[in-house]
Amino acid sequence: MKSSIQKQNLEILASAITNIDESILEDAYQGMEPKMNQKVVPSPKRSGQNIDKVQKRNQIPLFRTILVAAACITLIMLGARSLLLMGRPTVTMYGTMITKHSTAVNDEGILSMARFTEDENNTESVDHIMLSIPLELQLKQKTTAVVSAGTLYQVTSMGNVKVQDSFDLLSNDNEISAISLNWVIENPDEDTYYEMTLLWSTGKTILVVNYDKNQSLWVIQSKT
Amino acid sequence: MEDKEIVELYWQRNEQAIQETADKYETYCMKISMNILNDLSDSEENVNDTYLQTWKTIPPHAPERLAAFLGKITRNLALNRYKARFAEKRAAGEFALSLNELDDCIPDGWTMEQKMDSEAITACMNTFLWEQPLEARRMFVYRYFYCESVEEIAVRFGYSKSKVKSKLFRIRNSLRIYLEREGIHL
Repeated sequence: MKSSIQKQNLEILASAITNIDESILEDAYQGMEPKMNQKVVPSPKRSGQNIDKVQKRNQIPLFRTILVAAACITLIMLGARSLLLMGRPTVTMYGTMITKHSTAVNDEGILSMARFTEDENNTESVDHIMLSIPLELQLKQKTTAVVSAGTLYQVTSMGNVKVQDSFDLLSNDNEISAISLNWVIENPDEDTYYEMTLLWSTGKTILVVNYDKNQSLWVIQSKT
Repeated sequence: MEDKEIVELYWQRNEQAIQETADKYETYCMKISMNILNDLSDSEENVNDTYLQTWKTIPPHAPERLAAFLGKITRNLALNRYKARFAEKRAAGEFALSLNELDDCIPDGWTMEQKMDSEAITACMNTFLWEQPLEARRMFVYRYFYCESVEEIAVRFGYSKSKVKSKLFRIRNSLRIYLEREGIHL
């Protein structure tokens, strides 16, 4: 319990505060102006109002701040993602775009050959499969292709030209150019996942070829 | 309407001045009243008294900062009502809480016999507040002049309640030290 002396001192102090410099008050008023439009409600501490309601009212600006921050983060992430995808090449096979969903490598791409042993007396053939995957790439910028296995051929007017496992697919900046490739995998293993990585300055995409045992066929899909 | 034009209406003794004041500053005056009185009808009466008092005071006054001028009148009238209402009873509400906190600012040795000079304290307080960073100055005014709750101030500055409490605690301590240094234990 406060003594009367304390009480009186506090009243004098409160009165002194009432008379503080108007420019200090005006400055504080400028800082609080937007809140002046809010409806005034009695404090729940004394009037017995629903505390939750008043707390909710106070939480709204904080909630808004969180929403704005979340929106900003989303925008930044979308922007970053757009930047990453900006140079992404378009890859098609038989005119079908390669996406994250599996596309079957049709029978034309699977070449079955009978190879004979060198011993002329032995004419027993050995099954030999060659998986040939024809890809059309629409490049938006300089892109490098790297394969985990197999050989890459570039289809030109002169025919198929063998290229290195890793090579640069040249494209002029800001100019979309098309390149035809044949990815040939000899004797592919049905338990192996074969990858072709396409790298450009702001990102990469990986094409995966594997044997789908449920459908008994070779499939290709994109994994980014 | 611009504050200058409203003041001009008071000087012309045009009753439209009160309407314009109400349009622009009723929420503000109500907020100060509610923070101190914590009662809707008392606060409404207090705001009406504020308009009347303003009408009586301008002229001769010609306030350059109408918001601050109205704030002072509102707070003063509300404090008088508060004193009358809680002369015997123990008060509650935001103003009572903020008043309790101000106990920290009172330098040791202040007694009834050493009658304090309110004007001297105000002068010291002005100098002290101007020396404070903007944020501390505003926080002090929101809490001890406008009697806003710690929660409201926390939302306004985007701080946690505990951070606001600790900042206010430091300001009060600094003020007490400042008042002692200035010899305000008359």
